[in-house]
Amino acid sequence: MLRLLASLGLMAATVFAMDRLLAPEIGATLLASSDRFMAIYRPETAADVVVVGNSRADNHFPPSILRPMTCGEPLNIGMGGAPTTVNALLWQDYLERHAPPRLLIVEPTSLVDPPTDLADVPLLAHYSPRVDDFLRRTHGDLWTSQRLFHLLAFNNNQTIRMLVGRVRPAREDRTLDGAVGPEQRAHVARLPEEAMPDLPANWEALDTIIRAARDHGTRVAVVVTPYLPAYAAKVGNFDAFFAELKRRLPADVAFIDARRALTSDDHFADPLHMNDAGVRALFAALEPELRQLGTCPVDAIAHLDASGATAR
Amino acid sequence: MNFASLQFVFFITAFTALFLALGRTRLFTPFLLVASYVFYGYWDYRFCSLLALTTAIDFWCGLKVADAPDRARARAYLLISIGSNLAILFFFKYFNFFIDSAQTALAGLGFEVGRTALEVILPVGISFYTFQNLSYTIDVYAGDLKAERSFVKYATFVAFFPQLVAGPIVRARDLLPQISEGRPEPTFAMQFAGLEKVVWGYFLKLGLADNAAAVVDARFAQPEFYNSLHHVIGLICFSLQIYGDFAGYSLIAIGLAEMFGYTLCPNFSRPYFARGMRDFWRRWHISLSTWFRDYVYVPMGGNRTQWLRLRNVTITMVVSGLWHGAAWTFVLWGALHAGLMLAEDALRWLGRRSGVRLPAPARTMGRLALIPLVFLLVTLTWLPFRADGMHTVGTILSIIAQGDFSLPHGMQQVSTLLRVAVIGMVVFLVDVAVEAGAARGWVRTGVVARCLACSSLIVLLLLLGNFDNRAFIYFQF
Repeated sequence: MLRLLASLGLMAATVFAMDRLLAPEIGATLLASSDRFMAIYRPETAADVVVVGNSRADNHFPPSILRPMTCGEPLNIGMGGAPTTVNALLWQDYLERHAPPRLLIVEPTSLVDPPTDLADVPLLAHYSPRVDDFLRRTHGDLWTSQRLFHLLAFNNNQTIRMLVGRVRPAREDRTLDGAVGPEQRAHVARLPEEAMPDLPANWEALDTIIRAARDHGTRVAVVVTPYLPAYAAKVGNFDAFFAELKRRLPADVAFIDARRALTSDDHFADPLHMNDAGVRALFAALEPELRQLGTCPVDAIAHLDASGATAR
Repeated sequence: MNFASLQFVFFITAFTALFLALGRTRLFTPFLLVASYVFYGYWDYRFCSLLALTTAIDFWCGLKVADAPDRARARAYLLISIGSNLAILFFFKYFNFFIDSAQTALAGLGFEVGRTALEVILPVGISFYTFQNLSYTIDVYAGDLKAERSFVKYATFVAFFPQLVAGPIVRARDLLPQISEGRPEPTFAMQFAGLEKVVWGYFLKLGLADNAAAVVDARFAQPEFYNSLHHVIGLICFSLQIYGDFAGYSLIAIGLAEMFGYTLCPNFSRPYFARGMRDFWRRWHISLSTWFRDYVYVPMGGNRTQWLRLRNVTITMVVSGLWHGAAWTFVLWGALHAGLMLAEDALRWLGRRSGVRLPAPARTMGRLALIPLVFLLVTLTWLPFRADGMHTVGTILSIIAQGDFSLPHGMQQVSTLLRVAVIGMVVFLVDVAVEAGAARGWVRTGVVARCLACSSLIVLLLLLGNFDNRAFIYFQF
């Protein structure tokens, strides 16, 4: 049994050594990648427009469309499955390391995501003390595991996407393909009525995002993008929730309510996400408002006579 | 207690310490028994009483069968053992299934009867230890095994913790003598081979199975949201998941036992390299398929005539389906396997009758081509096995039939699929090497190199493993 225990010890020592050697190398490799989240932690990043939110921000705000509309370089750090608490961490990390952008676009649907959900953020704990602290407070076991084995910080889908991106750079736009089919329609029709939850931690995080932006002189626009109409009809407090959101926002925050801007199922990849055609149709409709918010030089002159109200 | 949990790490550490401390004392076998019950009772302490009850019944029946003055009385005690085991299994596993099915059938005939269902908890591993108990009394009756006179030793054999919950289904003739001999004195080579099996088992479970599960679960939870290509990918992933999950558990169980000096029977032999359905069942869940062969198929007449073969294969496979779960989807799974095995029989028969002899290269190519074909057929049969009902089976088949094999960009779970692909490739290469006979050479490799190989697998797990603490699939059976 002693020889077996010695073999186990040798294995453990080898694993530990490999962990301590590999983790910093992988960290440096990823930081050098073109990934949008790594851009937060690279000093040379300079964005004029930053987008935060969950997958609806990620998939609904393609940089190739935002760039001409806002006359600036966009950075979309919307993260699939991320609650507003995580959005706030990323936004504060960005502000801490870079000059503030002209415009911050918030897709606020992450307000309904569980505030302690991590999405792909554990990887960023390797680069950010703020994220590391969030991890320690919300997921102590995971935090301890990552302290024990540094490689665990890189055990997530985000790492894989970044490594793949180093071989074959990812598309800049992350809009979705496909359309809602008859099975999905039937599935949505069968869904019971649901409600958007009231999650105080997320509301506080939204306040933090807005406060930090205003403190740095960044204009904020809260843009609620469309839902599949049949799905929206299943959400009991659909109007009340967003009315409450609008009520909470400071007066100088633009509120663009585009929840019902698209009515055709052909514009959706699934109940929560528009497809590429939907995104293009939405931005065609929103262009006047976004151009004003982007303060393009030509528009700014034209804007001198226009009213400041942007809320629909 | 799940092998893939932190509690198990504490358990096995304490177990090892006590195993070494009590090895030379009379307390050793009782210690093994208590440890096994602690392991099992961690799920739900109430399960222990059922385990103890079935153990006591079969121990008593075994003694009565052995001591019976004539065959008729021995047969009566054997029937008590079989009856009690099947009654317990029926009650805990199949009661609601048969009541529901009967009510549905009556409703179909126009007789509306009230819905009746009991809230029966399914004890973990009941199908495994029931079969283990059954084989003991049948073997004693058949004269293949002497009855065990020590209750503690018999109970330790039934409850031996590495294999209690999800197999392999170890026969008494293999394990009881090892338990009876007291603390074993394994060689270092045996212990190290056990350790390697444990590492490889965890790699299969946490690397292959649990990553594949993330892909599979999403598709089966909302099948309507995925196109044909997604579902084909999902089914292939389920093939990998169930292999990684169950072969992983079996390897951890066998490896743990080996580390402490006990030899359990092998349960998997690279089943996706099978060149036919018969070959598949010689490689998949070997302890169950041989159990059914020895205690169901052969006693019914085996393959003495073509008619018997057809009948017995059908019955055995359908019962095997039901063994896995109380649902019509499992019956369909068993029936599909029966159909495929009989179709293979028919093709072999036609091949023999035709008298055509292919040249050697064509035969080799044909045998190689059979491997992916058998894999695809087996993969298709996993659909009802995984589906939560016939409705889901129909939905997924109808989506696949639509033939939409487009690959949408922005497809979710691409990175999870990449994990499955990377780990799957490692598993594939290792299995190819073992299939080619490389295992014999590996055993002669130095311990340091083998330790490095294991460490590399663990590092790969740290980077790509899934640590969501999913239960093993076969716990539900």
